[in-house]
Amino acid sequence: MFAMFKASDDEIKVRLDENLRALLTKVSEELREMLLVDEGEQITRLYPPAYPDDEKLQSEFQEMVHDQLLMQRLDGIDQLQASVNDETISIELADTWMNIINQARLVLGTQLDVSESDGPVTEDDPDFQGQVVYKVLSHILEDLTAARTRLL
Amino acid sequence: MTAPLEVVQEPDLDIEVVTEKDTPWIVLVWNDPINLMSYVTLVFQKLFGYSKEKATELMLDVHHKGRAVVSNGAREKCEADVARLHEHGLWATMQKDD
Repeated sequence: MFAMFKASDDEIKVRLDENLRALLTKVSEELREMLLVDEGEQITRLYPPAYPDDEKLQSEFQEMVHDQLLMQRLDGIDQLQASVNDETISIELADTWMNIINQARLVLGTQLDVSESDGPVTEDDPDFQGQVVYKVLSHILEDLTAARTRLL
Repeated sequence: MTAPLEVVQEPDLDIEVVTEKDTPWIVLVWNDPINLMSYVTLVFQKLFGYSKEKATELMLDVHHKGRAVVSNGAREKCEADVARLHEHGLWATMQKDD
């Protein structure tokens, strides 16, 4: 099977075609818009509770980390979009790409209510387009994770 | 006549403070249907420096048992660990290790 990413010395070669690169730009931009609106169940998924049984401690934790996480994510989107057409990316950029792609999967997967028992996508699925994008992002992340793991 | 002074036993504050301070906290990662198994393993290796074997074992605990304890220590350290796990999209919580 053709690898979309290949580990090489201390960097990763990117073999995505232009359609997949355009897809990454599109979904990362959609992620940015949702992060800035900061509403809805899918965005709540990006800020899980650290203290699910303690409202006071959770409130303090959320106040401490929310804006920092938001800024990190917005910065990560900028970095991904600035390097999306590069032929090679550094380890640090690969980590950023993985992070943003996974955030996009979390948001989309929450919207689609995916489960571990979901079967193949079929055209009669009312969320067919979203399901396809989710699967493609999953393949990209799986492949990038494999390449990144070889550089540990 | 002056009543004798009543000797008041002061609570042993030190013991309580030490106990609270020393109570270890644990960080748990919970199973979810979205995060990839390979990605979760890589995050454990990157964030905690675990070997591939240890990280895989923890990931499989998350997948099969629903959760795994991935780190422990003082409250501040565990909060930092939870924040880094959230940054990577993992569903992490923390609690006292009772």
